[in-house]
Amino acid sequence: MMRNPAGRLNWTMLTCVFLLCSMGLLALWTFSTPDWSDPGVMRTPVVRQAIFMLVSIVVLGITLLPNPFHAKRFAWFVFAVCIVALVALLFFGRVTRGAKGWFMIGPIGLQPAEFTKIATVLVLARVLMYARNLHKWWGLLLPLGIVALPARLIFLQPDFGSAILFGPAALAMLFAAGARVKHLLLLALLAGALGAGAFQFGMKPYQQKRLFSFVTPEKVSKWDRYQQDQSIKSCGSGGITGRGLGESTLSTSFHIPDRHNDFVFSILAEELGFVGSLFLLLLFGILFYQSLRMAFLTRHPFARLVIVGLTSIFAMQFFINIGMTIGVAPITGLSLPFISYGGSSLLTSMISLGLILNLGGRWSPNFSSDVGDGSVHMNSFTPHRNLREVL
Amino acid sequence: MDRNRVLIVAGVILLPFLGLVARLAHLQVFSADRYLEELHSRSRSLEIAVPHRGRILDRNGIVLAEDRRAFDLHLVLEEFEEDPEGIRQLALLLGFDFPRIEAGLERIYVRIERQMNRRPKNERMRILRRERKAPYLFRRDVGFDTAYLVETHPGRFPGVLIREGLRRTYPRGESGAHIVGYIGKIIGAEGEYERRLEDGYFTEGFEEKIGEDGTRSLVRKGVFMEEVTGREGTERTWNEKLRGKYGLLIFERKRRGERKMVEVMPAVPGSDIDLTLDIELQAYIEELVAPLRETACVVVLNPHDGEILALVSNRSYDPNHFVPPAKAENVTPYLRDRKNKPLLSRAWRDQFQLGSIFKVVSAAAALENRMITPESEIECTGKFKPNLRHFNCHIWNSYKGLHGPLTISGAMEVSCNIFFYQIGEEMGVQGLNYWALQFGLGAKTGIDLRGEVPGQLPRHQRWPSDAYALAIGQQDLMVSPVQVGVLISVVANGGKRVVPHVLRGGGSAPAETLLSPATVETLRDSLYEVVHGARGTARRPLLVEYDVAGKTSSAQNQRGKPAHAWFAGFAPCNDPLYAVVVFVKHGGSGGSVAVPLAEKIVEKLFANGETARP
Repeated sequence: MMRNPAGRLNWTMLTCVFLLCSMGLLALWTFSTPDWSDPGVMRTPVVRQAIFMLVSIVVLGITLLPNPFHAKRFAWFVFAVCIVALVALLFFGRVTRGAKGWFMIGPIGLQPAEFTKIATVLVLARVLMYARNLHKWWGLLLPLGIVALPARLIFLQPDFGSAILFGPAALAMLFAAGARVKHLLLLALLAGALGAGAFQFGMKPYQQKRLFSFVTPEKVSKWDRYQQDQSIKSCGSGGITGRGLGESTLSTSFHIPDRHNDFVFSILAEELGFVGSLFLLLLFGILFYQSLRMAFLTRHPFARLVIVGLTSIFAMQFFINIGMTIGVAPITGLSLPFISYGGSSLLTSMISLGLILNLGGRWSPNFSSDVGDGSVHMNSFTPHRNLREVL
Repeated sequence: MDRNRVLIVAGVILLPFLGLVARLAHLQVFSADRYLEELHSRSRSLEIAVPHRGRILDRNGIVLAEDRRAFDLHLVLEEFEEDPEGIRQLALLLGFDFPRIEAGLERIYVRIERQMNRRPKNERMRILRRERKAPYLFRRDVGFDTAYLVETHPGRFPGVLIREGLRRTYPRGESGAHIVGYIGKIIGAEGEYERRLEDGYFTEGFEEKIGEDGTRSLVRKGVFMEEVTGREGTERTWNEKLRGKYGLLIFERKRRGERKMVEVMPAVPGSDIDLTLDIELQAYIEELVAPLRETACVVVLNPHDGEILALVSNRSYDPNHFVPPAKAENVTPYLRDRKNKPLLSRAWRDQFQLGSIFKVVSAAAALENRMITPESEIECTGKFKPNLRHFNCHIWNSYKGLHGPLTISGAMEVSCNIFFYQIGEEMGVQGLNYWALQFGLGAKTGIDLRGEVPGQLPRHQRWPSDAYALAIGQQDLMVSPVQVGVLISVVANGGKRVVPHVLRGGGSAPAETLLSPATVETLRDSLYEVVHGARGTARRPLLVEYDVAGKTSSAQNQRGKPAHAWFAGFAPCNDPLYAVVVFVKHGGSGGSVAVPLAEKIVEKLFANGETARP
């Protein structure tokens, strides 16, 4: 029954992701060049990340295999599991860098927030797909409730960065699903007001400071701006062609705490310069463009919504991360997809990618000759096939 | 569901790329130079080169102070603390007890902490890690044996480094210590280190090379905290000339902690200081007065230009004891000795009653005011006035005798009190003060050594007896031995007030006084009589032989204590080469205590007169 999915895979996107992952590894390699004679070499970021990457690629492969419609079927279940995990996290979570964001299962740390993003997009897509009253304002209540619950739970950890990702993703999906622009604008205003309220009453001082350091730099002490200042200088010192591989991690370089996590772009920008940065931007641009092109082409609303949702999450992460690295966005602690060091982030990025590729690959029209060989999946639907049956 | 809405989403997502590209272009293309420059300034590492401090030489070129090469012990904390035996070994090596080692380590950590506190919190651990790998001076001048032991046992003392350094030494020890002075750590004196930092004392010429940031980073590292400065004497007065200028070594940091030297700004060694002191004479006199239990001071100077040949104050100290690292057991005895106060040179930093030598001033006052002429006589009647119990001539006090009619030279010769009481009655305190100032009393002489006292003249006259007492140098009159040296020089050189100084070629030109040559001539003649006259109070064979003129003095001070013994003179009388002042506190009679000392000094002066001849 099953057709070779490779034929419909978007190889452009896969190539982009492969190149991005390589750049990520390269950055980590120069950040801490592994010393193979050292028994602790397995703990160096680059080796760990390579292992994560292998695992993630296997997971990506697995994600590509089944019918993506199962995702729709299990969406609520996965969502429920994630919510339970998030609630449990508030009680049992491990505190890392001031936030309870991690479950430790043996040596592996799990970040439920990362998985919740996917689950929420899936559930939202399913709800929106069947929603009939989206053009009414009350029709937005259920979708918004679905988004608000995990966002609030993640905000409590507190992981401000991940929490705000839900907003734009939900807006994009609502928009794609056909909600009225007037409602969405009101919603954005409301979100702005809520955000201001949250800032005033719900945020920890350090979060406020981080935001402030971007909005009104002169009001924040130099130390709070330090990380970002260093990062900006580091990027700037790359020049047009960069300072060369490995140069950014010398003792002479600008010191950026936690550089291989959230500020990984500064390594690449410093070492590869403007050219390298443009290349990285280009890869992401192609990635988003291809992804949204699939959303445009696909005939299935679920696929379209999921792709729009996941892509906007990627895009938000990308913009905020690069933005904070080069000083045009506040520091939020969001990682750069496929590049930043971190297993959970990479794994969920790959799962998201798998979903996008899988959904996009199966539900887009294709008039090429290789279709109609009889290997049709039970849920697969192409106009071409129908046409033949009609004929 | 409108498919085209995806296109709008795509537009919203892809448009901000332009913003990112613009920002990146701004950073990496248009402002790259600025950031690169900042980066390069960070990649520099700096070291200072300590200048050789200038030597201090006596008038014959004998070295009184110089920088000797020494071995300094540095610690690299990371390696040192890795070894659990480290502290014990270091304690054994240096012969210290544990608390002392701990205190030393504490000081290094304080220096590191100072650097850390200036940096953002998240960078502090990095600074700590970096500085723990850097050598820090732990102890200066550990001695050859210790250095040899460490150097020949590599690996035995982990983290202990021996580096060559400089150590100030004073080869002549106590001799002339008050004049040569000593050095001390710049840190410690309240605020001095900070003040000097602000003045750019250490970092002269650095700004052009490494900019303000580089200079500040050096200061932050505390590289100047171990530096020394003149604390006393010439070391202090001429510190600016002696110290030289710091040099710079500029390194570029390379991968993995390697460094490459890229620029050198050599240190400028300090200039030598030539003193007017004759250290052999100084040592001879010091030996001479050493047996005296009470404070004794000797001033030998050239009466024409004020060059000081010897400036002795009994109870001196060894300046080597004060050179960092100073040992408490060496220094505390000096501080504890309340009676002698060896750190204090009495010759210019203390003042005493003068007594009869002031009669020179009184005589000058009387002569200048035409109260007397060289030929006029005043009769000594033993007792000055019947109603004044205490104003008698010393001959009356001793023998109920009297001197009879005396001219000025006769009165000086026998040091008759009545003669000068008469002058005091005539001149009053103010009149005498006026001439005392001409002789340099009551004001600082301007000697180029620290802490000179101005002495004291009686401020006003309450009773006529104040003037009588002042005329023979009693009352509230206080002078320092150096001032007496100036006083006697005025007579010796024909009426010029010299500025005593120890720096060769230093001191300002002698000041003219209001004394007429005739007055000075008369004074000189009368002082000649003191030594050569039949009844002269300073009549000693050697003084006569060397043609000395001078005046003795036995100054009453405290009730029940012996008088201060003074002698002030110059020789040869007609063409003076030397002026000599001898002072022995509570010595008794000037004639019997001070004069014999002066005799020996004069003998020494003329025995090798040619070498000492200015």
